[in-house]
Amino acid sequence: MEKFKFLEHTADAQFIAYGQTLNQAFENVGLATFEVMMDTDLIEDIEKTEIQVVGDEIDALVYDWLSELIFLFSAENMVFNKFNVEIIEKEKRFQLDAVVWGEKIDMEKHQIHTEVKAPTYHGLSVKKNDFYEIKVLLDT
Amino acid sequence: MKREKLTKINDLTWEIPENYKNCMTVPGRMYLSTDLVDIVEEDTYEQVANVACLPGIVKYSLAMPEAHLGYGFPIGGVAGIDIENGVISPGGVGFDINCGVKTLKTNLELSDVKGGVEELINRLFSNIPSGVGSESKLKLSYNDLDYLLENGLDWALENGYANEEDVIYCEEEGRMDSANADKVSKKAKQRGLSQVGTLGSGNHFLEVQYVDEVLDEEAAENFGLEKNQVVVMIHTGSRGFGHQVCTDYVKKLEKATKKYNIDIPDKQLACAPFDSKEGQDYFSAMACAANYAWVNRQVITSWVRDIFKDYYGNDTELNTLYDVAHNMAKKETHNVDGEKKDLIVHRKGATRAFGPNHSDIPRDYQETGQPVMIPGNMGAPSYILKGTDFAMENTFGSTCHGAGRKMSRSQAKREYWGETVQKELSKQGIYVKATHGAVIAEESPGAYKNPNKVVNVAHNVGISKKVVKLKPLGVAKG
Repeated sequence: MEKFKFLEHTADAQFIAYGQTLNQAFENVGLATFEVMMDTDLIEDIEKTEIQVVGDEIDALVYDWLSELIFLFSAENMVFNKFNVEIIEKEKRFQLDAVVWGEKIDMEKHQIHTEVKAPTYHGLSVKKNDFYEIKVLLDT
Repeated sequence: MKREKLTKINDLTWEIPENYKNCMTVPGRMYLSTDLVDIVEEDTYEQVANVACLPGIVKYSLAMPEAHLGYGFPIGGVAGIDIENGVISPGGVGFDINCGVKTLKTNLELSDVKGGVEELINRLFSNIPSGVGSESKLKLSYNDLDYLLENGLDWALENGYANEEDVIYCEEEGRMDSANADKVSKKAKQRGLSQVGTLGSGNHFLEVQYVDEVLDEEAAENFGLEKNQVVVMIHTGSRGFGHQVCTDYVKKLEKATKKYNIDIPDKQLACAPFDSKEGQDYFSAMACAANYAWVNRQVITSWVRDIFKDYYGNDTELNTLYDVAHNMAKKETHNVDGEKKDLIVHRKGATRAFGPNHSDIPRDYQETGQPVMIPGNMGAPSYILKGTDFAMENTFGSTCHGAGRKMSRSQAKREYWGETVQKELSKQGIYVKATHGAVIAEESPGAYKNPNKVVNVAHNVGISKKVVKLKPLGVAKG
């Protein structure tokens, strides 16, 4: 199964991330987001960061997960290509615990080309058929 | 929504009937030529209709001539919403709060700079941080940042980055009074701390241009513009700071939408009553981002001045023509059905275009109307226009802000090769410097709508009138 697929969008970046499990689909949302910005094969997984987000609804959890990743990129110049996500549902709320690996931006090495400004709720969907599909539109 | 459902009012005006959706309380109204109607994505019409469902919206949900798909509001969307019983929505402002344009008039002529543009652009490119992940040369403390957020251009004035005229010739004089730094998250401040004085990336640019044609002698004279004069256009916004403010408040207002039982057709239209705590908090935080963006363009202005003086001599002048916002919600008074009403006017990818005699525009421009700057693209002309009475009556004093994309970034990269585009532009006498070729391919002129067509609609409808046409000489891109 492919990890994600980019969709055509006139002004921004849109993709569907896939996963056998919800955790895996969230991991691929992270990977696809950094792939929008650069070639993720060029990232070395030398620094580890932990992320926790909590949401009432699953699409809000996607929004918050992306907000955290984009924040770490924008404020701390971190880029990631390895994601380990664990989502648990408790008391009708979703909690996401993640460990992500990457490194500080190196402009020469990474050649970042598209700036991702923010996640959006526009067209955001989480579906489960034979596997999970998360559709995301990023503001770039 | 299918194009066939639109009602044609005249050759340049189209309407979405109020009965298209149950939740609509006003019709949608769009200013588009027939060929632009054919390019606009059908979902854009749906978004215009969705905005017509926001509580308190008056007259019309409007779309300017460059209308294209956004989130919540379309890009080019304008809505006047009653302050007393209406809402404020971050989706009506966008992520890049107060993304806008500042235009500087120089005392140089085309003949003074020809031959040296490449070197000039290289100097601008290497001295003004641009591109993703670039950091400012400014080192601010959190206290400095809070002061900047609440005082806008006054901060720039006090710190030697601006002169009195820069303040006068800036929308809102570069300071939104409702700004309150306490309403901004620590995260937004962290993102904003190292980005004051950075250009950013994507469609943001710093362009050296010259006046190719004067189309309205009287207005051009009033704006201090003449044929062959060199000008500089700076297009950037509130950077990661504004993006985070919007990210935070979409989330907060999504909760408020539920709390106040507001029924909206799209989650990205999350909103709160303007006079609620949540609405006021967003307005105060948005105002901080607006102030941040004005300072950002001003700090870049100050460095552009230094570079020009270093290159062309100390007697080189770069005076501000005007600084306009593209993505903003502002308290304004407008005529609605013959009565003056206080509105919160949302402009997303739209420019304020106040007509003559409006008290909010600089004294020198009172007879003409405010200058409106519409950037083209790397290979196409930009325009300076003037605000009109027609805009005051029909679009809450608003017009378009650019041409808008017609091709996705990935499609542009498939169709164009950065170096080839760069060479073709070079043959036209336009020098482009970018962080790498992919940026040039993505921003290739062919990926954008023809700005002439878009500006002509605005001009022919009368929501702003052309004053001068500018041609690019050199561009520094992120």
